[in-house]
Amino acid sequence: MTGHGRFSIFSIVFGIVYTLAFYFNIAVSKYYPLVHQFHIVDQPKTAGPPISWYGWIATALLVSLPLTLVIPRRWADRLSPSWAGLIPAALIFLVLIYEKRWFF
Amino acid sequence: MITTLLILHGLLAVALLGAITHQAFSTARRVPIAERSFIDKFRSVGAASYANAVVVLFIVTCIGGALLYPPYRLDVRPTLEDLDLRAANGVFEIKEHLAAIGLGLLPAYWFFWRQPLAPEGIVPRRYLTWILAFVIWWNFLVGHVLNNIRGLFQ
Repeated sequence: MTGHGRFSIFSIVFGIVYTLAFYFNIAVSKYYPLVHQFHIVDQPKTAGPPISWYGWIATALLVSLPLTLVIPRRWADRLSPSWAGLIPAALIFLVLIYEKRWFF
Repeated sequence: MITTLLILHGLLAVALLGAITHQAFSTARRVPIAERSFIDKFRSVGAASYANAVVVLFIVTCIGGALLYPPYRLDVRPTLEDLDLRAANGVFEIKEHLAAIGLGLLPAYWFFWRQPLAPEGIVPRRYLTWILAFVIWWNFLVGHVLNNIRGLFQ
């Protein structure tokens, strides 16, 4: 099957980078809704609670998009199509395991 | 404004849920016409035609969710913490992660549903559709429970 490689690689890398970004809390910026501002560095408590989610998604996009475009199409197409589903499924499983801390 | 956006977000989620559920069931095995039950008829749709709608609805619903996040973070989450509803916070954390992973899945999902459907894409198509279906169902149910949580856990 040709042509799928770059699409599959984007989906796989995006998921992996997002999962790492939230696990290690690496966000290109955080949004402080109380003051309606994005900041690259953490703000004092007076700025209110931050939202990191936008930053994690942006981090994943900033890594996965260039990487997908740099990899030659012939190399990308060597990837088995099944990985596009298996790796995200594994990431979801890891997220569920990690987040069980909220329930026990 | 927030209430309007919340209702719109919910309506888009309903449309998305319907589309992905039809499509996910359609990836299961086919049954001869004479033996078809209600479920068989439910899944006997032109599944490929749902793919673009699923992609657009997923993105638009996520944008709606992203716009609703700040009021949630400022008003709802502190209330959940005050009520010591840790599990409610936990299911929302999972919701946001699944939404992000789902967003990343869309390019591969879209490619494998691109027409004409490639026979060698059957397996990834099935995986990706069912993963997205899980993500969408989880997020839909969690969104509704959190939206009604004050009534549910008085």
